[in-house]
Amino acid sequence: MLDRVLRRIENLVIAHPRRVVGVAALVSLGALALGSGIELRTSRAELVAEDDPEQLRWEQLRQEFAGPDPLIIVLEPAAGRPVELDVLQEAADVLGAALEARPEVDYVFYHLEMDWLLENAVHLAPPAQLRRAVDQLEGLLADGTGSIVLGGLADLNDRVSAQIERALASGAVMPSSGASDEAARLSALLRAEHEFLADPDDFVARHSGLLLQLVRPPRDSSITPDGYLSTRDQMFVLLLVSPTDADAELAKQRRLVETVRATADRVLQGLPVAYGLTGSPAMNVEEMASIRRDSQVTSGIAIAGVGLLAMLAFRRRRHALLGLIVLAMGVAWSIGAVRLELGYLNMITTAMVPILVGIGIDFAVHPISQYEIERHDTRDRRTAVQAAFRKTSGAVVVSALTTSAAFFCFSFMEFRGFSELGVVAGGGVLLCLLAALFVLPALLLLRGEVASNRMAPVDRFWLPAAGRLLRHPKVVTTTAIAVTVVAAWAGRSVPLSTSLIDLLPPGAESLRYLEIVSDESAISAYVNIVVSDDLEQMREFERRARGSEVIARFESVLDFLPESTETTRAAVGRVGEFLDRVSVTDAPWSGRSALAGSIERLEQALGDAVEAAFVTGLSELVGPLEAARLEAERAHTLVSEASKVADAAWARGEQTMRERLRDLIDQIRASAAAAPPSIDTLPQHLRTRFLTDRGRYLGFIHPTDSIFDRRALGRFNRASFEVSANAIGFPVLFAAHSRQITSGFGLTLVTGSLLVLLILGLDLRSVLHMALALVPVGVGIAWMLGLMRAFGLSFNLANLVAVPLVLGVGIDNGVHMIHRYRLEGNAGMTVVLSHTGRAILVASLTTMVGFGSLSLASHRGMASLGVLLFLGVGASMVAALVVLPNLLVAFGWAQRH
Amino acid sequence: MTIQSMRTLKFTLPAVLALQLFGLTGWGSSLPVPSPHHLVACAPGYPGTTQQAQPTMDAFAAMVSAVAGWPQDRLTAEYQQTESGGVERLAEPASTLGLVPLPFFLKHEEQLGFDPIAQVVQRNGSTSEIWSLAAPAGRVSAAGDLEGWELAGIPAYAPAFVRGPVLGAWGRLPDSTRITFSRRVLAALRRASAGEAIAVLLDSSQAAALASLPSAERLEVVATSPPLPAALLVTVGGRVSSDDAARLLDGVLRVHTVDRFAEVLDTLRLVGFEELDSEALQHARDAYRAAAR
Repeated sequence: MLDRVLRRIENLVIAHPRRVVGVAALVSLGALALGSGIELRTSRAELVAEDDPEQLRWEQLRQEFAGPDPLIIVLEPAAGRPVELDVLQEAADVLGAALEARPEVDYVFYHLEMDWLLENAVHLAPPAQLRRAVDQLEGLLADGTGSIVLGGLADLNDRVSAQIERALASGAVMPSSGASDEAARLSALLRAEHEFLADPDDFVARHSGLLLQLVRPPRDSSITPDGYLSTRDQMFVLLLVSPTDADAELAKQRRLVETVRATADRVLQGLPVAYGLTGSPAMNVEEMASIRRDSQVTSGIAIAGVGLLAMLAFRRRRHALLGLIVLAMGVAWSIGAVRLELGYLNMITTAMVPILVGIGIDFAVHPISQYEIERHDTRDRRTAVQAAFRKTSGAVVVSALTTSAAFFCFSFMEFRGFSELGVVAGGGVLLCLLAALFVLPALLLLRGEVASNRMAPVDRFWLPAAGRLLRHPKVVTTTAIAVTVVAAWAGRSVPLSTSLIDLLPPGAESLRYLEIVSDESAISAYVNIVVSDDLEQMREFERRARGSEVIARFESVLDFLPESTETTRAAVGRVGEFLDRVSVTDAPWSGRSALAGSIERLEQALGDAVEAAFVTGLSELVGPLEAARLEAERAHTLVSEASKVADAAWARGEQTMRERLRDLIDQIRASAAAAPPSIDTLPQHLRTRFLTDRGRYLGFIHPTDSIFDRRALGRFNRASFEVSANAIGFPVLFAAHSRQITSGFGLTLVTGSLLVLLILGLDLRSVLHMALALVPVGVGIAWMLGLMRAFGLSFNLANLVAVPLVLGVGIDNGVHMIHRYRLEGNAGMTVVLSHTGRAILVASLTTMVGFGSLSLASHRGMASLGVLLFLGVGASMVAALVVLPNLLVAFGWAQRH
Repeated sequence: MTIQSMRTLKFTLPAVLALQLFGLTGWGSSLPVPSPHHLVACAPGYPGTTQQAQPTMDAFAAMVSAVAGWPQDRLTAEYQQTESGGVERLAEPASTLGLVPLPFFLKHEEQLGFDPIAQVVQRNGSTSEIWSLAAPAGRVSAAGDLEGWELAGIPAYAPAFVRGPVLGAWGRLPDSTRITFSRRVLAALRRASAGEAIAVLLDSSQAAALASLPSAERLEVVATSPPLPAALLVTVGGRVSSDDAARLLDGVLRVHTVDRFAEVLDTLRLVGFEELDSEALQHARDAYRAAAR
């Protein structure tokens, strides 16, 4: 039946070549006009099914909260210029204010209001911590009379020594919960004492606000002492920018990035501050920019390479041009078809053009190549076209059908990006086929030239080689089988990497700063988010998140509200009652001798304590206690060796600190007497950060490990779902969509393979010939996998699309070889190789050059795609031109000559 | 036999039986009362005094009595923090049981008539102790380098234990090496980190805590012992009957399965008891005796 259809086409084209070309040209123009209206949808949301549950939850969240995917600005000292933290903080203030004035920006989160924290310090401290602090201070300071008198430094040292000695005497060497924290605080206290003794005036100046010291974040947190978001080493200050329109559309993200850059360049001019951008918007924009840059370069190389090859492959340059015209028509029709099928292209279906170029070129190369051979023997153009058509069209049709069937199987994938690629590429392959069947013969009839006597450049190499390739069929076959087995075995474990950051160019700005943010701060660029309707539910979420090893932090409005109204009130009341009994006496300066004595006793007590801890193996106490003892030892040395002048400075400093202590007590009393903070009294920037537009509460789940490690991602998402079944965020989305891709891919390959077998079976009607037709693709894939393993390459989300391409090309090669073998096998495999082998060589080389140019891309995903295609197409080419013919000769199914 | 005598017999017989019954009861009341046991725990060098530890020892005694199926007051216990105190108390006839570390056992086994019945499972889950020798970094690579040095540590009250089971496999310590008992292990480590010619013996938990010291980088572990039994439960002077010993062993081997005893064991830094590793103990004995000659 296929032959009948092809004969009809042949007759139609030969009868009306001008009409055919005219109609084709008009259709092409119409298709291009249609195609100009194709929408380019660059949102990642377009890659998934419209009813994708995770995507729907994400969209729902974005409707009421603009900040799930912020752009992160990292401020750092300009290169080579030392900068104080204050300067970075001021730069953050200026930049934050300027950005919030921009319509593209909803809000910028970068700073906690320390004044508000001070006012509410007592209410925000965990009640258990307040009670413990009061207990410890009572144990340390109470003299049994009910009142608590604070004397001077020597008095404090003696009280601490006595407390340690009491603990040791009671045999309290067992660790209690929090004992190591207490030991660390004791060490910090002694360090402060040492600092005071070393330079009392400086100490007093630095510790002007004692309450501020208490509420300040600890040294290694991701917040500076003044409340700015930062890395732990406080070398970088961070700003989280939430857009007004949180749509993941690339154009919108690009506008946001450009706005931020322009604003930062303007306001930071003249300041010794540099900045970098990271976070999802920055990474997407940078990725697309690098792809675009790379595409321009690689496309140029591909076009030049393919054009050059076409010139080298055909005896007449005009024939190469005709082939390119037919290919262009096929691609134009495909673009028009996309407008009718879908109306848009997404980030994956934009790859349809290079795919169709890589595959469609085959449909022209084989007929043109055969036409030149026929034209050499006859001056009648029509006869040559008919002969070429009859000898190649069957194979062209079958190879196109198998390739398009393989692509159409993609349309069953859940992941919309690939399913739509299946539709547009599968349809496009058929349209390229139509162009090759109708337009190419017509063009050859109208414009085909007599074959020149001079050989095409490729023939000077290929024709002698074709004969030599079959000299040792058994050796070649045995070697090929062995290599294939080894390669298949080695290649079975080629890994699949789902890391997006491994696709970006190595020096990408967003990648560099992502590493800084991820490794050096407690802020994660990629978090899961939970939403609750009330605070009780958020408390339950927090409780579930606590203790999970894969959850680094659970961040919510609860961090800025009292833990529990009842228990907080009771604890705050206890603090107030305690402070009512405290009096700070104006005791005279104890004198150096008394001070030295108190420090010596303290050092001795600490020595006994650390000795007891060490001997009993309480390593968690040993470090901080020994550190405290060393501080006491240094303080003792300092006091013993200090001059008499120091006495006056110490006395002065002690008096000042005593006054500050009174102020601290008054501040805490005022805080305790004030009403506790509530949702209604939260500062606006906290409400914006932690409440949605509808007043629901947000919790941010930060991962411990990188979510671009597959196992870590799975563990983190499972832990997030244990917090709330509705947790959503980039990690959840990424895992779900990656799963759709990888699981769908496997099923697609299976169904595609079955379809290919069916088509081959219907065409060849011989199990042996079917198997032989699959040799190039099977051997090619095995060798490709083996080479990937040898070079340490892996599959990734960018180069997965190479697999169907390699399969398609491999099948094409096999089908053409077997068709030609069946047609001219009696004339010997050398003839088959000379004719069809030549076309396969040219077609494969053009594909390799066309896609191999991608390997020069800076975008590592694109580069890996180019390398994979180069290896895969090259392997199947060698399999078709060397392995299959030698196999046929070795087993006696064909003669060499 | 007359009717009267038969009546007498009739009334007499129950009385005789009753007497016999009372007699039996009387005989029961004259059975010997099981002798009480007294356990002395002694770990020279480790913190804690007899007074501080008494509440814990009372709880321990109650626990052991319960698992052995003894009446509550059958066993008493005390802790002695010094070697001399421990030896003195264990030598007394009232002391029937001991809970002692291996160096103490080896040193006083013969003198006090120790018979080990079980070994302790430490908090880290191991019945073995591995001793480490810490010295100033870069100065000691072999036993011979300790010529004229001081070797301090908690088990040093039994020098033959140090020379034999602990360091015997590493090499023969020079005779000039002074082995000194010190409970202030950290102070000895400070001297070592300051460069003095002193090496310090550490048990496994102390060796693990070494890294947490600020001076850790100036110290290094130059030798470790093979695994040695950590501590033993022993009978003393043959004063415990085989029946009691068997019941005691059966009980202590099960003590870790009883939830309410977990806190007591934890206070003693134990997890439970296991059967004796006789082979390991014999190796230690042999090494000790070789070093003691």
